[in-house]
Amino acid sequence: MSQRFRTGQGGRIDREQEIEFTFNGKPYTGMIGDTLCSALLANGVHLVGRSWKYHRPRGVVSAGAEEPNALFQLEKGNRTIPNARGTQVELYPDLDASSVNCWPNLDFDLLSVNSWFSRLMPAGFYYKTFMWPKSMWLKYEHFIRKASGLGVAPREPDPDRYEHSHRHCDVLVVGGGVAGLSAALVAARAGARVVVADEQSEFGGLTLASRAQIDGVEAARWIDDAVAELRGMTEVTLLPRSTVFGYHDYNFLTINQRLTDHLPLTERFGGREKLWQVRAHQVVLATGAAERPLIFANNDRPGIMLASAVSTYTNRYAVKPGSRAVVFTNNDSAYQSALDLNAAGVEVTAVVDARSDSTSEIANTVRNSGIEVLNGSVVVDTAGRKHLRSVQVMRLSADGSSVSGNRKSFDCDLLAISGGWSPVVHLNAQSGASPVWDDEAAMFCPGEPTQAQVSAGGANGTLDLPGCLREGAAAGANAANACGLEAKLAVPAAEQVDSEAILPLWALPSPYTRGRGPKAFIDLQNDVGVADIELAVREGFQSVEHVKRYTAMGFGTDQGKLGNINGMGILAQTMGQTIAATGTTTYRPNYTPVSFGAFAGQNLGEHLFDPARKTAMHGWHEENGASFEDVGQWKRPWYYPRKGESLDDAVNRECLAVRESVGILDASTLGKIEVRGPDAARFLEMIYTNNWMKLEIGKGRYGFMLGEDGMVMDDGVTIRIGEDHFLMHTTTGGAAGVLAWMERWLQTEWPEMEVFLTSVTDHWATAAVVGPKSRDVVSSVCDGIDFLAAAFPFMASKTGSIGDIECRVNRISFSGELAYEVNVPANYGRFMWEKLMQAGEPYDITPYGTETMHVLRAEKGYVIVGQDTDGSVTVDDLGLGWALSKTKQDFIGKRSLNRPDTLRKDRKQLVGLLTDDPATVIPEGAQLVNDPQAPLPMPMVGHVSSSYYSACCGHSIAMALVKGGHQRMGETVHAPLANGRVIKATITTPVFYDKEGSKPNA
Amino acid sequence: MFLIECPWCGVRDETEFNCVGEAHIVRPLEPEKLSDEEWADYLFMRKNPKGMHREQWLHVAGCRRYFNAERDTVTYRISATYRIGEQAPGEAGK
Amino acid sequence: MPDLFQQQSPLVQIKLEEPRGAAPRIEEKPFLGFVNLRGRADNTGFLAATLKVLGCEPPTVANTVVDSGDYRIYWLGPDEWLIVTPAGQQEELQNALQKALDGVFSSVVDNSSGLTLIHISGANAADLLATDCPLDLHPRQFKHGQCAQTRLARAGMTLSPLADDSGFEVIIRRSFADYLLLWLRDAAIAFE
Ligand SMILES: [Zn+2]
Repeated sequence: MSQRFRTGQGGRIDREQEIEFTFNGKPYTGMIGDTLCSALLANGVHLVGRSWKYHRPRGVVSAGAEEPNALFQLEKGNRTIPNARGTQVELYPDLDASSVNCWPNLDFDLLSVNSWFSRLMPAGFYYKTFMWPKSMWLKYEHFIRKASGLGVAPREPDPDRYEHSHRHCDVLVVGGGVAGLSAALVAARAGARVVVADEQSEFGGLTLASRAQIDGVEAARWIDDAVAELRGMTEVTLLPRSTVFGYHDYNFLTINQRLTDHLPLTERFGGREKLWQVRAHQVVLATGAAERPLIFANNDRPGIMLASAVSTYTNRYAVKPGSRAVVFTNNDSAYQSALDLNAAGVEVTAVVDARSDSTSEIANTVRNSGIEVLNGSVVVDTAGRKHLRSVQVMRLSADGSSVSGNRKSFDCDLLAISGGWSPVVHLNAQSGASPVWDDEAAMFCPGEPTQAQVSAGGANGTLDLPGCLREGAAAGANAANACGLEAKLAVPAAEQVDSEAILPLWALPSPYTRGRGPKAFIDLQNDVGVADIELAVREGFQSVEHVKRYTAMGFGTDQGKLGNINGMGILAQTMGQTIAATGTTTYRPNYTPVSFGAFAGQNLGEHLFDPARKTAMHGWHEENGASFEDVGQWKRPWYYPRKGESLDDAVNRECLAVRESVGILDASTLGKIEVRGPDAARFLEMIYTNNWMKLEIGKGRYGFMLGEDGMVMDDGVTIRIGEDHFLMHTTTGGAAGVLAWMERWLQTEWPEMEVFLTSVTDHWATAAVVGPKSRDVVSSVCDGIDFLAAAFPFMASKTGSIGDIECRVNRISFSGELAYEVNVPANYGRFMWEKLMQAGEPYDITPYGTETMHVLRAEKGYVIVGQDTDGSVTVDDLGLGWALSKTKQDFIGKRSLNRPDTLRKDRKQLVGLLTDDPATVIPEGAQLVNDPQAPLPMPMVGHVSSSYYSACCGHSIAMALVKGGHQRMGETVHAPLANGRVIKATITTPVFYDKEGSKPNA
Repeated sequence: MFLIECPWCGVRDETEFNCVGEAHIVRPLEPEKLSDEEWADYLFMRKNPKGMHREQWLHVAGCRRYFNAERDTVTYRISATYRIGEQAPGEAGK
Repeated sequence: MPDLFQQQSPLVQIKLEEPRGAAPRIEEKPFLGFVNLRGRADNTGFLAATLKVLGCEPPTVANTVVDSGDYRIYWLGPDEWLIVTPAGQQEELQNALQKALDGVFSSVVDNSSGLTLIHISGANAADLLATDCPLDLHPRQFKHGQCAQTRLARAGMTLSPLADDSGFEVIIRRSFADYLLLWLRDAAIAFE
């Protein structure tokens, strides 16, 4: 067996299942139950990556989410994952991992030359060096990105599925360590709906690495029993491999569950990740505490590891993280690591304790086991390029400000460090609380919650096992009680171990002259050292947020989980103020990086990214080769190309067919709203700019709706069906907005008006039959209607039938041709459409789409709200002042028509444009100028809103909004294009076809 | 992400609602009699306070009713929602 | 009576297949009648007229649904209800209501082609909807006899639990039906 550093027994790995994996192309073996890091350590691999700035050799520091160094590129091709934390990557057969941040390779990294010049690359180096001259930045950036890049994003589409789920619960327990499990048990036994999320594959948290007992059994056994009990309860959801990464308002928390990343690639079926969106009545934060490192010269060598991580590797993963160890601490907890190492057969040379004395029981146990304890001492430097070789220890002065005496050197390949503990307050802080500094415990504890939330155990600064169990159980009981349940408090029992106070230490005193010694790193991923913080303060930065940005501390993928608290301590120390006064940087989601796939979920691609609304005739359009256009959320036929036809060919053909014979358009998408009630007409008088009281039953009228600011908001034809009954048509995109707008007036301003509104957009399918032959087609299909012009004039509406099916026919036109809009309940939409197609066969009836519709209406100068208007255009600007009632006292927007700005003579006004060259079509959106030779910036006088080639007119046509355009008929404007070409055009009326308007009345 | 209590439907997710701006803006009865300044005040000027704000919301994916809410723009707490025509709770004691 | 054979459901382009694995069953109940009723619940004339036609007053408790004979009446708002009728009966109901409500401020609108109704049933029905419905669908909170208008993904729906917690009745708009069924079918893969 090649795993030379595997211990002989114990751990939570499956020794029966040895598996192979590769790291940087080299084969290794590990066990099921390993993480990538524990497997590498079992093989004696300590050098795993290079740092971001100086490319210094780096090794595994932690065993959890705070890992700054052990970042890997996993797999290749479409399933590659950049910057995976090897401490949290579960080992699976044939895993392919490589280091990030090395070029050309890990052992021989050319960019480590940066490290020799490190003194020349202080904080703010990039800002100062590369920002000037500004024009060079892009060139520098290219090099810097190559040099500094972490992992590589996949270039191929992601083959995996990502899932979403909403979940409501009484109690969400974040963290499945012993505190969280105790809370969950008490709450669940009371009948609460409980969700427990833990980021690891196994519940149990740090206690998985503990050799203590709970309720008289081994801790690991107690954990297994607790999980089994919870799993048996129907209202409990256990989410392993699930990171609660965001805590938002109203107890809305987001959880990313990793479903398949622990499986071999060949066995990954189903969703890869699941994003849970949880609403919890009560939240128990049992996220534990994270150990802090100590900061001294050359504290970044492979082999220097958090003491708790050393215990985790030793006890949980059955790995010896070294052969000969020194422990360096300022508190009691690391003594346990010395005992754990000793028990696993690793020689512990010494425990270096900064405290002048240590007399607790555990300290004495360590001494009694033959390990030398050096009190009042600190590590001041280390040696070993790619792996730790030795550490140097000196005496710490009584006041902690300096070191003295001889440097004592200890040979070792493992240094276990503990600078104290930091409760994981990230979610508490995200939820709106401000973490509070506890001077005695030397930690930021959770702040007063602003939401229904409680922190328990390590997350609350409680580090002893009985305390975690006690707080967890109490939190679970309180949470259940707050949900109206009756919880029975049951606290699991564990032995109380006394401990002595911590000696808080930030930047350790050094034997070197300030600024001359080797670097002492705070943020290992971003290579931020003590000197960088000191420099930032010298340069005048005071706020912790500014220092963070200047030094880039906490900017990495680890977001400063390991180093930030030390950084704040050192900043406070440097500025001579308290840590409480210095404060923390802001904790923001996401707690750890989350893949884009998790956010996107299934909402991808043509069908699922956004709703595609379809009409009843959609299938017919597809079967008949339509190209579709998105209009709002609707899929509308754009044009129907025949074999070999371009868009222009098809549109020219469709346009001529309509003008010369007959065409048919699916107009079902127009908004349709029933307006009913005794005050319906009076209401429309307020909503529209024109008069409605006297409209005859069976007749329609075109109207404009304005916003209260006087600007055109929507338009359409509304038909009077009965005395108190209207059917309103809105634009396709405006339907929902118009309904909400009208409801708002009725509900909030005029509740006394007796009017009801009901949307029937989806109920009716509408076919517009358009052209000189339309009467022949429609009259042969619709029964019970007299189609003679005198009996059925323009703007009239009649009901009849198609076979047995009721239909409503409106004689309205958006093309300037004789036209009828036929409506049937949409279940019969396709039936109606096919009937009309059949009846139109003798006239070569031509289905046409939105493009032809646009050309036809532009030939007539009809505007499209939202294309020829943009929310800043009035009815007068459109030259349609006739639509404004002169007699009505009030309508929405009327008062604004007299505002000085609305009355300006130089407002942009709608005109037509004719190009000198009849074949030239000006691009829509083109800006217009009077003098194309004018110096830059050229004064712009307007823009083109609609522009087409009109086959019917034989030349291009355009509509434009031009300043004072109504007074400029016959004048010339120019459209300078981005490609340098300038198109010359003459201002004209926007009506290009049938200027007398006789055709629709035929 | 808010939870909002629709006065009709009860507590629902924020994604079912639209906020449509400041509440209790009354349309002048005779707009034509207003000066340009008075009309502009009605049209454009909004309170935008730091702290308690009364807003109009629409339960757009639910019962389609407009209602009012008292919301703190700093803490995002919604202290009350009430139907159109009902007195704002904060006003009740006055 | 119109020729029912000429009808096409909004789901004409979607093939609903037998559920695989633990995926819920999705079935359309096509061509039902949907009549939108509006009136003021404090108007005794309105209540009396509707009682006469429907056999019960429309429910005034928010988010509840009542059955009366062949009709199922959904509360949609304080002055709005949706009456679901068996296929082909909408016209008759509409006429009867309109006649009874003559002179009473009210509105009766046929929306039968604008909506369709599906059943989602099986052990994972709630979880399937919870894929992107923000409502708490737990039977402790949302029971038979209750209804809710809410959203599913980026479209609206009206939702009501079936009897015996066997699943949900879901009413969706015609134009969104295609999107929602494609979406549901995709979401169901998680349960297969
Ligand atoms: Zn509501």
